Amino acid sequence: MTDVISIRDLDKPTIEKLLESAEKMEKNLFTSHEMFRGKVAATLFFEASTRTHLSFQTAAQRLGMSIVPYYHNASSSTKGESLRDTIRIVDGYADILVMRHPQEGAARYAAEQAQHPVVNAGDGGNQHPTQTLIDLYAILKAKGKIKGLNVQLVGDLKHARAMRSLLYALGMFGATVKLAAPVGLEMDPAIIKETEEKFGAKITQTADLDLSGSDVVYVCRIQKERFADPYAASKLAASFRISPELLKNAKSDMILMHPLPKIDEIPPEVDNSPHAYYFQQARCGVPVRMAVLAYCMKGKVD
Amino acid sequence: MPLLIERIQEGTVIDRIQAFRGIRVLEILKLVLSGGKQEEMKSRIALVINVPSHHMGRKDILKIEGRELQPAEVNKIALIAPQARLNVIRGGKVAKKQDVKLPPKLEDIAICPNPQCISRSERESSVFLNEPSGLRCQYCERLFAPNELLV
Repeated sequence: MTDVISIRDLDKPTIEKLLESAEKMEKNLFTSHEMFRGKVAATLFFEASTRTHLSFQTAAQRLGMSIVPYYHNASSSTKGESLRDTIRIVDGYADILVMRHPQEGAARYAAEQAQHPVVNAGDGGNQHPTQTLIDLYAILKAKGKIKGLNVQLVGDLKHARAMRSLLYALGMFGATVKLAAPVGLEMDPAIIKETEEKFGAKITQTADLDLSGSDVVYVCRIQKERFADPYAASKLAASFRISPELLKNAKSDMILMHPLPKIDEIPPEVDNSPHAYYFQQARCGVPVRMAVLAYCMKGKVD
Repeated sequence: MPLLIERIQEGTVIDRIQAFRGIRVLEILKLVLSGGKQEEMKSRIALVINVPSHHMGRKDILKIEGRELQPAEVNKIALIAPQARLNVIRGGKVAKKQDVKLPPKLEDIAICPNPQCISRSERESSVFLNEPSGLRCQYCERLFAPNELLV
């Protein structure tokens, strides 16, 4: 048994094995899996999520597990129960715990309290390791490699946790990364420095949106809920839109990725362009999360 | 009138503690225990606060009689007293001296400055890992300079 809490805990060989395992899961997606028949997965979502929650539930069920879902609004933590108590209780019911929580470090803390494995499905602005694995898997699937690719991360790089973990992982796998963010929403310099120092990654920064030369363009949403002024947030979002005109400069085989939900940073007319890859990317969620759940249950990747 | 504190023959002197941090040093080293355990302590302890110092302007000095503290124990104070020096006294003389340095892991000394960190609501303090570019909270994974931590 093992936990998956942060991309920092996973080394390159483990990630590579997880991605290979996900590929096998995807091939056998619709044949029944009896691997974990009779096991129970608790999905603890202390914060709203559609894709992550549904894809974890689907992944667990495709592995033969049954699900006990936990929804924050209908539970005792609204009465003031500590996370520690909630985790201890659920740990007594289920064989594995998948958790999303608004506070940073909540997953690591839960893993300390629980006997069973804990999978981090997002802890505030900190980590969302399975999203990063899905992103790597989707890039590999489209491009066949990550090393040497020109990857551009676009949008609110300051608040999007997915972008921080992704930058780290892209550095680990040897991609060349360009960071394009509006002024004031740049990536935390500490993450850039860490990625450069640990992996010798090539990272550049710009405030201008130019898609030429990129093999992968990864866009994230301006997180309006993190702004005090919704109007200012909308204006910023509009200035960093991926318009059809902008796409004319892109390489013909460039893939456009997005963790979803997208609002107006990618207009609907782009969905039909050959570059749009985000819906295929989202589908990778199930096989990758199957691989992660199996890894946590067994403590190793087969 | 000078304030005189007698020399110790055997034990530990921690010198060059930033002025007025000596009390916190006592707490971190668990030399002043709450809950009635004081009776178990055999050693005499002297804390001298706000002593004029050539090096630091003002400083605190802590003398613990009859107990040799190990660097690994004392290094925990490096966060609040980074200039402190540990002197082991044997037969009235300094037998060993060593400047404190931050240990690889700081446990239960400082609070994480990030208000969104889970350690703020579920623990009394956090755990920090000493990395080349700063101290990383084990929970929220943010990096801080030593002087940012709440002690």
